[in-house]
Amino acid sequence: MAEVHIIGQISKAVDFAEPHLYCKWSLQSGNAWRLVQGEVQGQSPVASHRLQHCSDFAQPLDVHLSSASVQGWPRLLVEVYAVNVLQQSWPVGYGFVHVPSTPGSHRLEISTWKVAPNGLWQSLRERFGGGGAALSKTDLLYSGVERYKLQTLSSGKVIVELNLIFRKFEEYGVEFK
Amino acid sequence: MSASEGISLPGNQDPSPPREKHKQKAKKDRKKKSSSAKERAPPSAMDAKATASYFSLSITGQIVSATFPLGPDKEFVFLRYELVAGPDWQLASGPQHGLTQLATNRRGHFNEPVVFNMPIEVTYKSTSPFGWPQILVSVFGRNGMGRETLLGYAHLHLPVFGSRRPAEQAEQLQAPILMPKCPSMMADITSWLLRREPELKDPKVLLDNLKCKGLSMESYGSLQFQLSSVMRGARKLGYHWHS
Repeated sequence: MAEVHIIGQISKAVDFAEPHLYCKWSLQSGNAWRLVQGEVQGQSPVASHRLQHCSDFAQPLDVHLSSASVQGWPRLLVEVYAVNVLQQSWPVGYGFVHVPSTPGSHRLEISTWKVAPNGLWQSLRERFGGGGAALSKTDLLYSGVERYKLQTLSSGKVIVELNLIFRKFEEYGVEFK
Repeated sequence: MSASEGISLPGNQDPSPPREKHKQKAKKDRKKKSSSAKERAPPSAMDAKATASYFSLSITGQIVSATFPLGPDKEFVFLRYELVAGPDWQLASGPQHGLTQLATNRRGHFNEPVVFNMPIEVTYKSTSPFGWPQILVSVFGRNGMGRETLLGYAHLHLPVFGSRRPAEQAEQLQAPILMPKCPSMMADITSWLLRREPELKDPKVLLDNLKCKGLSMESYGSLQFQLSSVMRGARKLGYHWHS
């Protein structure tokens, strides 16, 4: 079975409107991929910067996957939540990225989107009432099937730095160079 | 496949004393550090045959400096670093903990980096890249009166082999310094009255993906590292590192 090691970190979130953010991430892959060691989901502490308008998560990622098929290449899903003074949290960014298909080090920027408020009442609630709308079915994040019903706004970017190590791919005839 | 089954190597337990006792024992720790800086095992000769299932990773470099955009909050800054790795990794040589000197930038411009120039030379042996070693640094500040407080934590994966071209190795790795904030208003008031910042009981919680839920951190400043890695025996195991 071919193996893939993903070692890196979710570094920071930039260009978001809110200062206090935390990030919930998960790594998903197809049926033929098995997790050997590591955790495939996590949540970072709430982070803010004293001077700039960005959040440094510095969430380390270390996952060891083994795969029997090229289909279902793993993807990293990221949901960024904002926290206000009253400790209420709401999602301000959804995004995903496929893990790159060459070994080595990569710096990925995940552009995120959030659900757009539908009218005056919803925009007021987003500003003052503890947050905007959230997705009820989070599989909309990575599937394109029912997205035509959504209205979204662009949100900030999440920067992820990954190092990939592949093993035994050439025994199965898989080429990535 | 058997080589990567995660054969657990003994001896990677953490022998460090619990965190809270660190401040009172800062001087004792320095003496202890110099005696444990001797290598733990004799270095293996280069011409010994690489065992089929181990690869060894040797990291050399230094913690260069700490930069604070508006100057550090205290007059003197010192670091305590610790190397944390997964269960398959065994430290073959080099110290696992270290304590730097007390450095200041008060004589110069407030913006200047506080230079430590602290060497890091370690060799690890492992059977699998899972649990790649990370360096966890606690940054402490000390004012002229001798009171020490925490300025933050920073952590970084040691450079994964194959991740940087030789031309880029002169660049410095940056890690942001994160300071834990008080969990509630009452804790805020108490900490302001007693002039004592909150500290994490076990900073390794920051390296775990699920235990750090609910913490609140503020980032200010960054640490610069210059690290490079040399590997022995990994190609035999069939790993592809480079693009």
